[in-house]
Amino acid sequence: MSGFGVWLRKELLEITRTWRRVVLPVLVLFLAVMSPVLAYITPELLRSAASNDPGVVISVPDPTAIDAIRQWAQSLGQIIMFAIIIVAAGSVSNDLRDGTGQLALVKPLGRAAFILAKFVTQVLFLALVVAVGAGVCGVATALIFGETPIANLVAVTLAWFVFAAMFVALMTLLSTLLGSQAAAVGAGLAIYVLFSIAGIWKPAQEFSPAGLLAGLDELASGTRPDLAIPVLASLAVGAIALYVAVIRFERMPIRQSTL
Amino acid sequence: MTAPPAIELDHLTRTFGKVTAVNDLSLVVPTGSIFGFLGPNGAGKSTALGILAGLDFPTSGTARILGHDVVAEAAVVRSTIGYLPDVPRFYSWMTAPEALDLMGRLFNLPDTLRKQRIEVVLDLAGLTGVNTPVGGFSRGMTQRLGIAQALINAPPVLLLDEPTSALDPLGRRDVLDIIGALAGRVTVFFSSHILSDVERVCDQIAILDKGEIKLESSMADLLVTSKSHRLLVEAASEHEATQLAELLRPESWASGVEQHLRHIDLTSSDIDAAQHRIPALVSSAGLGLRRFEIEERSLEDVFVDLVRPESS
Repeated sequence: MSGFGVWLRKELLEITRTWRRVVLPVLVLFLAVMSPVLAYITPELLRSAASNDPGVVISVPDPTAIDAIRQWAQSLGQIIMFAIIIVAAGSVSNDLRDGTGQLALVKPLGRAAFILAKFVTQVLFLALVVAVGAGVCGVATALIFGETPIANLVAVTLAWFVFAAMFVALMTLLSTLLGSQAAAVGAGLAIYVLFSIAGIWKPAQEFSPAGLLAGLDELASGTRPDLAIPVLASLAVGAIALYVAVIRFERMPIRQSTL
Repeated sequence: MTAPPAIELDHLTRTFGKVTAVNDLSLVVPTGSIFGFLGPNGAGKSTALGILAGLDFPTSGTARILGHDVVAEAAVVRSTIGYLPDVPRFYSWMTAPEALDLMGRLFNLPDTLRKQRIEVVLDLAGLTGVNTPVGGFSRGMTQRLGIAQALINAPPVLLLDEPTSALDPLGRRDVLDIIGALAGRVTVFFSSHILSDVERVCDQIAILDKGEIKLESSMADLLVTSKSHRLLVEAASEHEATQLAELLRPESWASGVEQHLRHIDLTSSDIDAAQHRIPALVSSAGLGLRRFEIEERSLEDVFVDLVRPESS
């Protein structure tokens, strides 16, 4: 993997010097703070809505810290996943479209190193941002509810992270194969929807990565579903996606930039 | 054992579906030469250069740089070449020294050597002291930075794909000056469709059209050819034109003698001889001469003749 360390350094530097340092952290931190806030005010909002109509009686239990973690799990599984799909979709294709990758790939930089450095950078950055986000969510939950179910918060974040890392690998593959960020976003969203639907089906829940997405709410609530197989399946899918991306990229003609 | 040539293409072919971009191309680029790879747009120049740079792969045939196969020994080849695409693109957030530092690191140049090389190539490209992000560079500056990055590893072979085509006259002059300064130290394989650029810096050329080599020559020989003259002779009758053409063909200064009814077209590398011998031949054979015209041919005429569609 000639040039992996150099290219990893460049990718990490790029995050600190471009818009990428802002978008995902701001979104994650916003949702980390808003998750306990939303959990706290949602029952009150519902009661308030019901009080406007005397014929309607809504019984809503008082919010708890568990609800804050469930809200965090929902944010991770939906909005943050969409952001990851959009950002990761351009990881390879943008460099090829812009011609910036071309200058590097005629140097002693292996194509496998090019792909894998991009994947590792994204996963490291995601890990950092989500770890900070989880911490902020935990602190905000403690401030609002007086307690934080830390084990639930950690379990949700870890399970989601495994799923998200697999998805970054899938997006790296799509970005390589399709050569267009827009096309990769479309394909990525379609795959996400398939995983979401598959999560409803029991066998898929037990034996595929869909089980991680479907299990987030249970983890947030404090039950501990057996997610060993979905974790292993996610790691396998991620590894296969990266392998295919590298193999395809090794024999892919790199065209001149058309910009 | 003799050293291998800088670049060697052997029956190189690249097809895209039914389109043949490069067709059975065989070519040898001598070490130390500045080799102009001429051709109109779409001739296959960039495809051939892309294969040499390891960005694309041949459908059949081989390409070697300093004796190393560009596919089987890609890693070795990449460490011995510098490559400039026609429109080099850099990360807009980097400064020129940062972009060069990245490229130097990819070649695993030690810190001290890397810093030295960055200073040398920045100076060569006229970018010393420029520390603004590359995103704000003009095209000329970007192209000069492109040459600088191609030279960061002091490569023995430099591949330049249309390095001047997107530049204004001043930018072109700067880039040609840089290429000229490399003469004798680096083998430069330089694709272009701008004949004056090629004439200025190259010592060897090949003309490519529709993926095939139409002409391969030293620049000196080509200039002699291009500086030759085209002559138009009109005899009194078709019969006399046939006789005169037969008399002209053995003449050493005449080539390409072709007859069309009463007209004879020919090329002469010695205009003085032609001016004296043609009237003498007409007179001695008792033929009638209606017209005798001399046209100067340029390098552009040679190029156009070679790449002109057959229908025209």
